[in-house]
Amino acid sequence: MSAPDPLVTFLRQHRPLVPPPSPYLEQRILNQIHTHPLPAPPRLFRRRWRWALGLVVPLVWLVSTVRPPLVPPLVPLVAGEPGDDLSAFLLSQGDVVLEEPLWSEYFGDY
Amino acid sequence: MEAVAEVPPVSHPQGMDTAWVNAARQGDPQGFRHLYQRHQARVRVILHSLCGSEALDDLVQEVFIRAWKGLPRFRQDAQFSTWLYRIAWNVGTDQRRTYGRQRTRQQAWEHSHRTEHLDPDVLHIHYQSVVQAGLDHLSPQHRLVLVLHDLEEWPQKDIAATLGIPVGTVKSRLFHARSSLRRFLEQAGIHP
Repeated sequence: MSAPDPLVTFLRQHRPLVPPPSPYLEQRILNQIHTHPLPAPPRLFRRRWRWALGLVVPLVWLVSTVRPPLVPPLVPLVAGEPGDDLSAFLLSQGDVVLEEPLWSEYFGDY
Repeated sequence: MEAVAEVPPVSHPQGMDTAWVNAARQGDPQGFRHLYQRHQARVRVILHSLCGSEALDDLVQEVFIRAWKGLPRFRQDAQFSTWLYRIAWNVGTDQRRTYGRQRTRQQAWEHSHRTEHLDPDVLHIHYQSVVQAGLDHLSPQHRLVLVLHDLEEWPQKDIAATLGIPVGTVKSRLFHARSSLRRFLEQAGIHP
C-alpha cells in the first residue's frame, strides 16, 4: 500500500471546519414537511389511458361522420335472390303503383 | 475552539434506506427523520464545500425539503444517498449563482493571512484558513471532488455517481485540484 500523498495528509490535519447544525434544524425541517403533505405518486396508467381516449374519440367521430364509406355495404338494403319475383315482392309492400300514370291523371281535365 | 460537525462513515446498508424511503413515501415523517439523521452530515459537507458556512442550515433545510417533495418521483433503481447528494449539489450550485461568495471568502483569507506571530494553536487555525482559501481558489467542481475524496474519503465511483460524471473525470478533476491547491499552498509559503 502506497504512502498517502503529503498534501492529502496536510489537508486532513487542517481540514476546514464544518459548523454543526442548529439544534432546532431537524425540528424545523419536520415542521415544514408537515405543511407540505407529500403529493400522491403520479398515476401513470391513468394518464396513459386518458391520453389514448383523447386520441380515439375524435378519430372515431371523424371516421363515422365526415369521411364517406370507401366500400359499398356488403348486404343490400333490400335483400333478394336471383329468380325472385320482384313484382310480387313490391305488391306485398302495400299500395304500390306499378305503371306510369297518364299525364291527364296528374293535371286533371282542364 | 469552534465545534465541528462529525461526519459518520457510510457503513449502513442500503436496504435500511429503502425501508425508510418507503415509509416516507407513505407520508411517514419518522421515516424521513431517520433519513435526515443519517445523511445530514454529508449533505452539510457538500454544501459547505460549495457555499461556505454562511446560511448553511438554510441550505440543508432546502435540500431536505426538496427531497421530501421529490420523493414520489424518486425511482428506487438509484441509491437514495446518491439522489439526495445530487440534490445537495444542485442546491449548492444554485446558491453560488445567486450570491458571489468568493469575494467575501477571499477577503477573509487575505485578512487572516496578514497575521504575523503565531503560536501552535493559532498556527493550526492559520493553516485551516489557508486550506480553506486554497479550496475556495478552486472551481466548485474541482473543490467538491477533492473534498469528497481526500477529506471525506468517498470512493471515486460514489463521487462519479453523485455528480453524474465518469470515474475518469473524477480522477482528472482530482489531479488538477491537487496540483492547483499545491501551487496555492506553496505561494502561501506552505510546502506539505
